Order: sequence, then C-alpha cells, then structure tokens
Amino acid sequence: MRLNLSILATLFRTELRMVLRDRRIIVAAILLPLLILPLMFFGSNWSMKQRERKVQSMAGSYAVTGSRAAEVRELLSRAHERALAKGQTNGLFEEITVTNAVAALNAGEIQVIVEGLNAQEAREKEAANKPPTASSKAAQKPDRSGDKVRRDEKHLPLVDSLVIRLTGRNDRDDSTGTIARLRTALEETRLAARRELLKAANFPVPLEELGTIKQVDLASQGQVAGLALGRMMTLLLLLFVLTGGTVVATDLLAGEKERGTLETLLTTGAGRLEIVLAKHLTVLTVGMLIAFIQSANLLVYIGFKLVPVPGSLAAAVSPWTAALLLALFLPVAALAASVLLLVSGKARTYKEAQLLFFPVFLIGLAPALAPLMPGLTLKSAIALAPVAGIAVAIKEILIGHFDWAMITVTWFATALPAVWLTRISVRFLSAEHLITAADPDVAQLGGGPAMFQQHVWRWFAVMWALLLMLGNYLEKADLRLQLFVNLVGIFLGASTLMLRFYRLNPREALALRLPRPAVWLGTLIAVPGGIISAVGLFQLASLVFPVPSRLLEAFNQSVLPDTIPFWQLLFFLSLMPGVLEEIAFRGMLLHGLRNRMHPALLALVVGMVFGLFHGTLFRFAPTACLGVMLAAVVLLTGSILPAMLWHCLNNALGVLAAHHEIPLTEFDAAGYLTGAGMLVLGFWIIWRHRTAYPELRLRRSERYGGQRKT
Amino acid sequence: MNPPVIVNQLTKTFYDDSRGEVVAVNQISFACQAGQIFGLLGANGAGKTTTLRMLATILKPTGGTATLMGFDVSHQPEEVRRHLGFSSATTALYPRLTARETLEFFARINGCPPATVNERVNALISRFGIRDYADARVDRLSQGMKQKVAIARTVAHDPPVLIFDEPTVGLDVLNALEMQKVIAGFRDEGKTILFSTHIMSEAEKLCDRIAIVDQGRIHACDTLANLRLATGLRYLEDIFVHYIERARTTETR
Amino acid sequence: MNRPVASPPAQRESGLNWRQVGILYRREFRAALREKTILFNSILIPIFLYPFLLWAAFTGMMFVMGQTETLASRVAVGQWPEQHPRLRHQIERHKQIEIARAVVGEADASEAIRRGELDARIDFRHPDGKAGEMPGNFAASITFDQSKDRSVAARERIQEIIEDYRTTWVERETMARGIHPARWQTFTLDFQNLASESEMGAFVLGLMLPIIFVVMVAVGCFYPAVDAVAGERERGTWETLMSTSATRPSVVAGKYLYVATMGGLAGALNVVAVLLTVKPVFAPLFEEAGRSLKFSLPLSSVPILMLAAVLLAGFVAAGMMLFATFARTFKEGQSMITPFYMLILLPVVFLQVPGLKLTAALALIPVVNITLMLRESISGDLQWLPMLVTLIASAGAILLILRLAAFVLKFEDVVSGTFQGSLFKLLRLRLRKTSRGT
Repeated sequence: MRLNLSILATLFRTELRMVLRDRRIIVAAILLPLLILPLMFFGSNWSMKQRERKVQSMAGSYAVTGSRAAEVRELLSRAHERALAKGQTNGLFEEITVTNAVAALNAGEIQVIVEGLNAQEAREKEAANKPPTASSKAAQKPDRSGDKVRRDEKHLPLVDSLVIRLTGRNDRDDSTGTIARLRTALEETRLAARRELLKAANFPVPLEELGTIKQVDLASQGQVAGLALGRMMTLLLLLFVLTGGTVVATDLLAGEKERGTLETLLTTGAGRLEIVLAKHLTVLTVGMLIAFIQSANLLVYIGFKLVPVPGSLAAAVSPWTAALLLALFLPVAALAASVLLLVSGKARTYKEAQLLFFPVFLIGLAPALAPLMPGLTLKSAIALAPVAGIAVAIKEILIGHFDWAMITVTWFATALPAVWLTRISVRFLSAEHLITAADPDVAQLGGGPAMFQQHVWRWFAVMWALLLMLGNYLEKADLRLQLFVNLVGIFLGASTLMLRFYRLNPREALALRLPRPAVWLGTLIAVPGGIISAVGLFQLASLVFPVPSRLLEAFNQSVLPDTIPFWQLLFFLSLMPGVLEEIAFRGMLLHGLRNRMHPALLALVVGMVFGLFHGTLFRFAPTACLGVMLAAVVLLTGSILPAMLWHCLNNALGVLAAHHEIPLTEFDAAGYLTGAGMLVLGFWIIWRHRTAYPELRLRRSERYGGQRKT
Repeated sequence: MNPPVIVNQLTKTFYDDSRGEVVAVNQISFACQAGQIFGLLGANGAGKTTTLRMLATILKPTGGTATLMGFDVSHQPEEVRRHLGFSSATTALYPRLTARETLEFFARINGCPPATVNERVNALISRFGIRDYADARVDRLSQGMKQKVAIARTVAHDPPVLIFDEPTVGLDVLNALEMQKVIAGFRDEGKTILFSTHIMSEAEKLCDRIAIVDQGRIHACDTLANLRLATGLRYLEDIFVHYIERARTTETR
Repeated sequence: MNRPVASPPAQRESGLNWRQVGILYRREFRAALREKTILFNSILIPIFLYPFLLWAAFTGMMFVMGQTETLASRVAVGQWPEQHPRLRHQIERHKQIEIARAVVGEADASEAIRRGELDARIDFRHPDGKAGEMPGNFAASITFDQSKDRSVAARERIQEIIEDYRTTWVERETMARGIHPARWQTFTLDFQNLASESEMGAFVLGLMLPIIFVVMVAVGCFYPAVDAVAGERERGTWETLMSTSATRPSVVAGKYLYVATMGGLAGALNVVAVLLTVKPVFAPLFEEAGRSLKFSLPLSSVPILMLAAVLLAGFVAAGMMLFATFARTFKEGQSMITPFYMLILLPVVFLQVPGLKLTAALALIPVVNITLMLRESISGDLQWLPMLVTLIASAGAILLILRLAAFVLKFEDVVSGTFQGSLFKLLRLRLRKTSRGT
C-alpha cells in the first residue's frame, strides 16, 4: 500500500476538527480529568494533613496500674516536664484515675493503660498466654486478643528491672496515636536518664559521641526528586493518555461504525492504511495533548506544594531532559493509541468498545509499574519489554545515569509493536464482520455448543473466584478435603455442568480419543525432560533478569504432611489432579476456545489460565509452564489421555522427590542438556505421530471471515 | 470501448462460526453501459448489497473478477474508489462537520486537485440548493437537507460511476421522488449508474436494464421490454415472482 | 429548523398504578439480566473486580518486597575497626551483604556507587578530639546514593547492624565503669493490643468497605440509569412504551425502582464478595506481621447495611435518572451522568481522616452520612441520633430529587425525547420564562 500524504493530511485535519468540535469528548477527555485530579490531590492531601494534625493534637489520657505504678508515674511526670520545658502545649496527655482500667479503655474513657511490672511478673503473665487484662467482651467470645505482647527492644529485661507495658486498642486511632506519643516521650526520658548516669560515672565521652554513624549521600537533590518522579511518571502519563485516548478512540472507530460513517469513508479514494494512520495520529495527538495539559496541571500543584516531591524538581528536569523524556514517551503513547484503536476497531458499537476497554486499562498500566521494582536497571531483559523498558529508562534519565545504547534498544522495543498493532488495525478495517452493523447471532438463538464457546470464559472466571473463596475457608482443613473439594467439587462439578448445560458431546469436548501408540512412549520420555527443562529455562532467564529464588523453589514446593500415607499422597496429589484438572483445562477450556485463536496462542492461553488457578505468584510460572506443554500435547494428539498420563507422572515425580527429599531445583549442565534432549525427543515422537485436534483455526484468513450477509 | 462496469463470475463466501460456509453471492456476471441505469432487483438478503459492496471494494470477492473503468476491484481498490460514488442507507454523514466542510473533505480525499476543490464545492452547493445551510452542522439539518448533502457528497469528485444501494429506503414519497429525479439526471449526464432496490415501481420507472437476483444468483438480466416479452407478463412484480419461483423449483428438484 | 423550547406542562395524568409499576419493573429487570453491558457493570464487576484488583495489587507488592529482600547489598569497607572484630564478623556474615573487596579507594567507591555497581561504602575511623580520648570508640560513615533503591536498602541494613552493635557495646562499657545494668536499662517497653482479632478485622473492614460500597452502588446504578431512558430511546422502544396504557408516573417509578435495585444489588453483592475474599487477599500481608485477623461483619450491622444500601441506591438512582432523562443516546446519557457520578465519588477522598465521627452536622450531607454510618456500624459504635438524622436527611434528599424529577417530567418534550439539551438547559429556559412572565 502506498501512502498518499495529502489524503493523510486531509483525513487527519478533519478527524481532529471533529474531535475538537465534540463537546462531550472535550469534557470527558480533558475537562473532567483536569478538575478531578486536583480535587483528588487536594482531598488526599487535606485528609493526610488532618490526620497528622489530629494525631499530634489528640488529647491522650491514660491510667497507671501494676505493682510498680509509682516508678512509672515518676517517669511520666518527668517526661511531662520535659515537654512543657520545650514549650510544647498540645499533644499532651494526662493521667485519669479509674477503677477498672480495661473497662475504661474499652469504653473509650482512656486511650492507654500504662502498666508498671517487674520483669518476672511480665514473663509470668506472658507465659499464661492470656492477656492479664482480658476484657469481659473477649472472654465471652472464643476470640483471641489481636496481638500477643510485643516487645520492641532487642534485649530481654533484666531480672529486677522495670517493664512498662502500654496496652491500647489498635482499632482506634486515638489509642494508637497516644501510644506512639507516650513511647517517644518515655524513650526521650530514658535517654536523658542515661546521659545523667554517664555523667555521674565520669564517663570520658558523652553518649552522643559513642560510636557515631554518619550518612554521606552521593545523590544530588535533583536525583532524589528524579527518583520520586521517575517511579510514577510513566504510569501517570500513560494513565492520562489512556483516559483521554479511550474517549477519542471509541468515537473514531466504534462510534463511526455505529453512525454508519465508516462505510462512507471506506468507499472514498482514501486507502485503509491512510484512514487508520490518520485516526492513529488523531488519538496520539489528543493523548499527548492531554498528557501535556495534565503534566502542567500537576506541576502547578507541585508548585503549590499540594503534591509532595522530595528535593528540587527544577534540578531534576532541565529543558533538555524534558525533550528527551518526551521523545521517549512518544512510542509509549503511540503504542497506547494503537491498542486503543485496535480495541475500538474490534468492537462494533460504542457500548461494546467500552466493555472491551476495561481490561485494556488494567493490563495496559501494569508494565508502567516496572520502575517500582528495586534494582531493576535497563541493562537487563526489561529493555526488550515494551512500555516497561521505557518506564525504567525514564526513571534512569531522571536520576541521571543512563546508557544511550539501551535507551535506543528500548525505544524500538516499544515503537515496533506500535507499528505492528497499527497494521493489525488496518486489517480490521478489511474484516468484513467488523465493518458492517451487527447481525443477530445465530448461536444466541439456538443455545447449545456454539453458545458454550461464548460463555467459556465466564465459567472459568466463576470457578477461579470460587476457588479463591473456598480456599479461604478450607485453609486449615485436611489437605485431602481441600483437594477433594477443589478437584471434584469445582473442576469436575463445573465441567459436568458445562457438558449438560450446553448439551456437549463428552467424547468430543473432552477429546476422549485414543492417540497413536507411539505417543505414549513420547509422553513417558518427555515428562522428566519437561520438569528439568522448565527449571533450566528459569535458571537461564534468571541470568538476564533476576528471578527471585522463591520462584525456583516453587518448582519443588509441595508441603507433604507426614500424617497422610504415601499411597494416599500419590492418589490425591497425582492421580486426581492428573485426571480432573485435565478434564477442566485441557478438556473444557481448550474445547471452548479451540477455534477462537491460533493453536500456538491457544496453548499459551490455556497454560496461563491453568497457572492462574494455582493462586500465588510464585506457583504461577511453573504451573503455567506445565500447562502450556500439556495443552500442546492435547493439540498435537487430539486426545486428552496422554496429557492425563503426563500430568499424573509429573505430579507423581514431584511427590516422590519430596518424599525422598530430593531437590528438583538445581541440576548440572549435563542434567539440563539431558532434560532438554528428552523433552525434544518426546515432543518429536509425538509430532511424528500427531493427529491434530479437530476444528482448530489454522489460517488467518478465516479469522476475519465470520460475517453473514446483510 | 469496454463497458465501464464489468462483473464476471463474482462470488462471495462467508465463514460463520455456527453455520459454516455461506455463499452470499454466487458467480454473478453482468455489465453496465455508460449513460444507463442498471438495476439489481431482489428481496432482502438476496445478495444485492453484498454485490454492490464488493464493487465498492468494501468487501473482498472470494471468487471471480470485476472491473470499474478498467480497474480491478481486488487489485486496484484505491483507483476504483476514486472513480466511484457510493451511496446507501448505511453510508451516513459526519454529524460534526458543516455541509461545506463535508463536501470539501470528500472532494479532497477522492483526489480532486486542491486548486479546484473550492470551485467544485461551490458548484455542488448551488446545483443541489444547499446554499442556505451550507455552513450549518450536519447534525442540525432536517432529513431532506441531509439527503441533499449526502447526494452532493457522493458526486463531490465527479465520478463516472455511481452506485446507489436502496437509496430511497426510509424516505417519504416526495423525497423519494426527488431522489429518483436526481438519479435520472445523473444518467442524462452520461454517468454509469448501478442501483439496487426491492421496490418494483422504482425499478420499472428508472432502470434501463434489470437484473433479478435471488439467493446470490442472477436469474434474469435484460431490459424491461425484453423481460415482458420473454415471460408474457405485464407487471414487473409478476415477472419477478415468475423468475424466482422457477429458480426455486428447479433447485429443489 | 425547529428550535425546541420547553413546552408548557402537559395535562395532568392519572397517578401511580402499582400493578403497572410491578409489571414494568419485572420487565426492566429481566431485560437487564440479558444485557451484557449491564450484567458486566452491575453484577460481575462488583463481584470480581475488587477481589481481583486487591489480589493483584498485594501479590505485586509482595513480589516487590520479596525482590528487595533477595537482592544482596554490595558493600565496600574502607578499614575495619581493629577493636571491634565482632562488628566486622556481623557485617561479613550477614546473609544479604556481600563485601566487595575489589573496590578500595574512596573515590573509586563513590564512582562505583554512582554507576550502580556498588551499593554502599562504610568507613570506620577513630574519632578525633575529645571523643577520641576513649579507647575503642569509633565513628562510622556510610556513603550511599539516595536515588537508588538498592543503595538505600544497603544503607538501612548496615545502619541497623552498626546500631545494634553500638547498643551492646555501650552497655558493656557502662557495665565496666560500674553502672548497674538495670539502672542503665531504666525500663523496657512492652506493647499490648486489647482489640480482638475480629475487632481488628472490623476496623480494617470499616476503613475499606464503606468506600468500596459507595463506589459500587454508583457503578451499579450507572449503566441501568443510562440504559433505562437513553438506551430505550436509542433502540426506539421508548415510544412503544409511551404508547402503552401505563401512566407516565408508573413508567418512571418502574424504571426508578429497577435502577435503584441494580445499585443496591451491586453494593450488596460487592460487600459479600469482599467479605469472602478479603482473607486470602490480605493473608500474605498479615502473615508477614505474624498476625491473623478475623474478617466478619458484626451481625448488628447487617440491617444497617441493608438500610444503607436502600438509601444510597435510592439517592444515587434518583440523581442519575434525573440527569439521564434528557439523553437520547447511550453515549449522551453517559456524559450527562458522569459529573453526578464524580460528585458522588468525591466524598470518598475526604473520608480517610482518622476519628471522623458521624456527627449530626455531617449526617446532613448525603452520601457522606451513609458512608460514615456504615463505618460506625461495622466498628460497632453507632450513635442513635446521628443515625436518625442520616435517615431523615437521606430520605429528604431522595424526595427532593424525585420532586424535581416529577417537575421535569411534566414537560412533554422531555418525556418524548425531543427536547435537546440537559437538565441545566431546561431549568435555565424554564426560569427565564417564568421571570419574563412575572
């Protein structure tokens, strides 16, 4: 496609003109954020200041109890005098005499109980493991007190020394505030007492000069401000571009479709590329414009000290730096514009586009959080990650240490996907079912299997939430019960429901077919190879991008209770998940998504979802890795049975290794090579004897052909 | 000289998730001459719109060829569109542009030389009687005014071929008559006009040649007089039903 | 061109017909459950979004925290203090500190720190002057770079080790000079929290839940409110509805009840979802502190919660409907409601002030009063008077808006959807008309 610049210019001018004429766009994209942002800052700032002021000035009252109350009173009165001597007038506290200190505390008459105890007494009370002042309220309920006794100092109290116990209620701000102030006052008093002691003992050096620690900060004020700014800058700018861009992008494609003007445009002499480019430029322009306005807005508030930034901002951002930052941010904004246009192009109506934008927001902002990661420098794999790399680069530039080569690399790492996505948008304009108005969906009329494909995501979302919620209640239950509920209740239960609800053929949906005999052999060979290769892959990745050791440990993580017999462990941890998890993920999920995406992407998605169901972050990577391999096997053989075998064996090996306490996290080079070799060999055998999963979507051309005539 | 529009074995197949392959247009062939109105007559869903959309390069044919002023719709879509004015019930106008801006935009984008754009726009404004509201935004115009602007924008770049897909759908009698008059006027200027409708009287009145389309196929294609001769029927309505019933019975057999 | 002007009030129609309202309400509700946008925004987001977002945020936080912990600090040491071999031992043996022996010179070290190859440098020396008179006294200086996270972490680690060592060392020295250790210690501090696990849980919930609740009620009302009027006009079903025998007030009441139900439903569902998921979501955070909280609503707050849901949904729905009545398309409806939506969410920002109590004065402000009432009912110290004021004020606010809505709906062109403009335009036109008339 040749690009006609004069047509492009005409289109761009007109698009921009129309955007600027739409009052709603202006209001939603520019005016509202412009008003909301300062209000948000002002609000949170105000309440923060209020909080500080309140905590400072809150009148605290306390009761003194315990066997050594007199000493405590004496200490507190000295603290009080010191405060008065310093001219402090508010934020003081006073003693109140009460008969029942605990009741008074619970009733809010006092904020703190100050108890003077012997070290011996304190220890005895602790040993009883029951708060000495257990409230009647707490005694009625089988409800332990929130905290055990917490000691702050590193050394145990000496035998006959005084222990001051501050008892409060952490669910009340006045109580926690008073405790904090009492503590400071007491500690200051102690320091003063120690100084006196040293003087009395004729110590040659005052306390302050013993073992001093000085901090020498190499960073300039500008660099410190740069760090604070650099952490959040990309995120904020991207947020502005996305909020503004969304409104415009929705109007430019989905809105045009709805109004019917897109068809008019498509019958003119302008090419699809020119149309998309003009729209892209419009979104980009408006997005950048909003980012500019908002940045200026933000600067004003920093100027008014509504937004605290440590150090001097002016030192951090010179005009030259600002220009560089702009150049760096441009591909990010371009990528955002591409994604927004793509989503808008995928939608057929305004409403549909809005639904689609929601996940884009959540996912799109995540990479901009990269600069929050400590110790992450651009000289790592992150430079290749779109947006994340730029975000880190922006931070490094603001700090003042950066590397031109890596910045160039990361610039392209973000710019190229932007170009690529724009090209896909162009293709969307040729996708027939997306251009023209929506037709009734036949699947919706008939229900059944076709409907299942549309609903499969919902089912798995509900299953995921159920798993999370049930996990809450079964946390302390027997491992066997937990597994039974999860595997039989959720995975098998939901799968059965889906089969019945959508009248699916179980043999087809679950891919219950016999593969060729050689596949079994391939599976047997690939299983150990898969475990070793996955570990190796992450070891390799950790060379470039530091992987936390917990991630690698997670490969080996299976906490096996000693109380369960070994054969039961094998049954519950290997056989049951091997069969039931396969039914849910490689059966139902894979079947539901089979012709929605390219098989390679399909394997990846099924694997990721599988990983997501394993809860914590550190379990995600290893399980997702396994999930991808399992999905690949099912796609290649058209049968779920080898995957079940693989899954069972994989888990069994894990159980065995844990049972005999063999670590599976580190192997030598030969081990990795053998493992990788076995995996490749196994997959090669499976590939040679493949019988592909039916109804896969293989050709791209079919992907856009889902239109019926109008 | 070759006819301006030649359609040869044009086919369009859709893929649908629930129904599988659907043939919307099945090996259609016809040709249109300059200074004539060629009418596609058929029920809703017969394949008229799909055919015209393929000619306008909105849709890509899955088989066969079509040329417009000698340009192939599959391989030279930009050239095709530059020589074409397309108007249908679903091609709307930009609500936030004024009438003048609309005409200017479409003239420019269809490759009118920049120097002549103004002149051309002024000519269109006076020809279609839009002068009074030329600088008002389109979303503030009445239905009839919008229709005039829509016609003007279709011919903004003075294309030799015009396609009207059910242009009178949703118009009242007076506006529909006005539309018919305008289309006839274009024919008299020597333009090639493709026109689809399901209203028999309209086809009877306007079309020089009529193609009867059903289920993606052309069942008859001739002048009205010849169709009458061939079937021995007087009214186009009867001729239409005659052909369609004949086609459907042969198919079921 | 027809410039619409607010036409005079239409003739009085007969009033509410509750049977019709019931039929209309049921139809609205059924349609809503079949509409993807509404289902997604009013039901699915409340159930899944917060649990998911919180989960993602905390998992991310844990990840970052874990990262900081696993990164070893690369530290260069100028010269070890000769008289303190134990300090050297402690620093060298620390798991997260790596001693970089390659960098020796001070200038080199500073350069390496700036480049990020080294995290900190410690210099020990014998202090000069009077402080130097004491044998074994030392002065440490830590060179680091405040603009680098790793460097800041390194400084913190080193400082903690040295300070700990210093405390012990000073204690030993004082003992050697005849100061009794108990006198030196003076006292030790203990802390105890009297609030129980469930009380702490209620405290955390009280901070979080009311805010999420307000947001969710607003989100829940938003799409139904837009859809109920603007959506119908866009689809062309508005006229169909207007041509039925149902009276206008019945139609509006049916729609209003439906919008309010969706908002209340979204709020209630979200509370349930948060209660169910808050533990696994927060678990990683509190595990770290060695604490376990019990998150459960006190039974007494359930009726208050339901009451709050009714009042808040009633208020929000009334407000949103009032604005949305003027919209003719879905998009227009959205932009007309958005300012009101923002206005409702605004108080949320101001509610983070500690110890903010529901006073009779605050109870007069809509939304704020309900939020505070909810918070206090969860933490269990709700007062009767402010609650009563809250009830009356909220009911009053709802009635006021409904009155305004009834006034607005007297204009025929507003009802039929031919009036172009927003609520403000109508009021302006109407006010001008009356002022001209008098």
